[in-house]
Amino acid sequence: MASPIPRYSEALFEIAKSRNGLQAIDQDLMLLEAAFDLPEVRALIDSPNIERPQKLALLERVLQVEGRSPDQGTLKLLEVLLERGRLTLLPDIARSFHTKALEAEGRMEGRVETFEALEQEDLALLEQSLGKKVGAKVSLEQMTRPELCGGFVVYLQDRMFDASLKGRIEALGKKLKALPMREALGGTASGD
Amino acid sequence: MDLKPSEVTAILRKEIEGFEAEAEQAKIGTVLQVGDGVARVFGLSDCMMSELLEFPHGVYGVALNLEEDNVGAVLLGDDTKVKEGDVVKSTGRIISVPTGKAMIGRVVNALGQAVDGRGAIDLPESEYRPIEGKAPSVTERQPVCEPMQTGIIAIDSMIPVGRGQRELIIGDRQTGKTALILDTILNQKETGGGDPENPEQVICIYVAIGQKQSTVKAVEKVLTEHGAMAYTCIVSAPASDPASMQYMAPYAGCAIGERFRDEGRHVVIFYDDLYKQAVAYRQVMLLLRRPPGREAFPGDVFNLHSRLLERAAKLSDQKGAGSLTAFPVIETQESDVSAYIPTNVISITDGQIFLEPGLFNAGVRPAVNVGISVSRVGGAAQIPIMKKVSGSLRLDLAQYRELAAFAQFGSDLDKATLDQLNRGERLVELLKQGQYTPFPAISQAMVIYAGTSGFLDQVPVTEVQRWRKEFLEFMADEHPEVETLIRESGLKFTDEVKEKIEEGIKAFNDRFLA
Repeated sequence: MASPIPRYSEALFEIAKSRNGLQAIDQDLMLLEAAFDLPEVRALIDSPNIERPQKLALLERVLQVEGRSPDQGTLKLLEVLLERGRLTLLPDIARSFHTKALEAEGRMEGRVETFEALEQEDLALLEQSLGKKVGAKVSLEQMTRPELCGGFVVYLQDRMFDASLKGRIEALGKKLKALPMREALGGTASGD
Repeated sequence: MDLKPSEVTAILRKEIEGFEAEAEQAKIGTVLQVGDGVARVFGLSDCMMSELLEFPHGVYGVALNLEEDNVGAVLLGDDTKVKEGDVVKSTGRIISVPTGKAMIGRVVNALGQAVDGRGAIDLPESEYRPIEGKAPSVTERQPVCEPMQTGIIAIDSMIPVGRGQRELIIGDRQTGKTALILDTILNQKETGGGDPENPEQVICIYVAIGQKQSTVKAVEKVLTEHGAMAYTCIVSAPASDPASMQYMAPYAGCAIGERFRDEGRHVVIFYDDLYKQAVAYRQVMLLLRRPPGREAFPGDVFNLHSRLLERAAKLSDQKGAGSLTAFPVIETQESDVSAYIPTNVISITDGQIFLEPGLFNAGVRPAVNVGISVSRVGGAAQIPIMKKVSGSLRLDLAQYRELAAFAQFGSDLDKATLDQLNRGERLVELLKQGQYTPFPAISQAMVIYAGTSGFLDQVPVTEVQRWRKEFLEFMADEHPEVETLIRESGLKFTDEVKEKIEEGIKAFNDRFLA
């Protein structure tokens, strides 16, 4: 069966677009996704002993932190999901919506892994050159991985750019292993 | 391989110097779920069907289910090395195997990697062929027109197989299915002296699916001992291999065979056996959550076999006139040929050879039931002399069986009936054949003529096999001109040929019966 997640996020995306509420809804959803990661919130959401109106009230309170006022679209989505018992899909819907929102704004989020944390200007330079390559405004999250030895690896949605020393050594090793010896020698090697 | 260390260093230096220091770009996905040899991968948006996917730790997989937001893949290696969240790289390559002369004499797995311990198969990318391929179209084919001699009298006389045909071998376990295949492979030595460079030599490919490794080793040993490995390639997917490898092995073998077929060579391929392949396919498909159908096989299990067997063909002269003959094997349970997979494959193939445990246990070996075995197209390819002398054989045997069943009641029989029973007993004896002793077509024709024309009626039943052996030696030693004459007359059964054979038989009978 096809997953319902893209359907919900697509519908919500269209509502958001028509009401110019893309950013507001995106922020609401990010907040909810973070809240869902908390075990206490999760326990309340998953508990069958708590009535739906109470769950809704709880999530509304989450959205009202620091005096925020949530978008009507977000609240309606919560009601629909509660009504259909699909509240557990919310984090996935939020992620799917986030990707769509980024795409609509011509932005892309990714991750760069390096041996040592990059300087701010190097990061900006990398974001810029990658942006040219993929045709979108790229923002990268940093992560250090000492086993890369040097260079960097960028993960951008379903693309990977490997310019690390580790990756290069592996590629070279693979190439050397696959090298047909006899061909390379121009047939000078004898025997079987 | 004889390589000097300095040469290796030179190659490595060249490679390292020329190595491009550019960032490697790859399409990636992440593993959502893994287990039982299958994985679900998120991402991989441009993934192709049957594309090779690279998992971490050198494990490869094949994309089989392309869904809206994930890809279902079977793993070709150890699934315990792959974990949730691992990065999967697409390779842009459809799963393929190395092909060509380097494969002959080797034992390889479903990926074309050597498993015989005689070194890796060292071929450039250009020698690879995708394992799934399109069958030749109608315009690229011609009707089956050349014989594919198995060297087994019962088959070559009554169930003749032509080059490019698909002939099913079906029977219970322990009825001699693999033995029949081995004899056929050994007999191909006749075609080109066992030299794979000889364009007349038929190349043999034996695909072992879901068998014991010891069985595969035994097959290799027999073939090596008889000098048949020189023109044979074994594709082995033993029971210990992942189900994905067992399901792909026949396609890999077929791709190796097709290369020779397209080069104008003659190839014969044996799939031993397709029932186990269907079971492996069922396992993979159920794990990938494709809906099950009858006997829990997926809906496309018919297509699984038909698309494989359609690749057997006799190509037209414009296409080089090569051929690929397929002998699929199906193992039945309790001789039930009306089960799902047996009926499927029976309907796809151009005929079947039934092997019966009853006959096998009664000492009729090969245990071919000639009453219900058929070949739908091979008759057109039979050599003329064989066609002529074996014309009445099937009928004679059918009548004999009917009479023999009737004579069980033990009542008094008239002379005509007794004569017919006598003749039948001797014919049955004549069709028995030891293992690893295939007969050339001309020898077969001479002994069948002797049997059907009544020259054996005086020979005691127990002596028929000795008669056959000594008669063929006698003809080879003392009357080699008969065989030459048959060849010169274009393998036809002319009056002169008939006369010469009769003379030979009479001369030998005088000596044998004295």
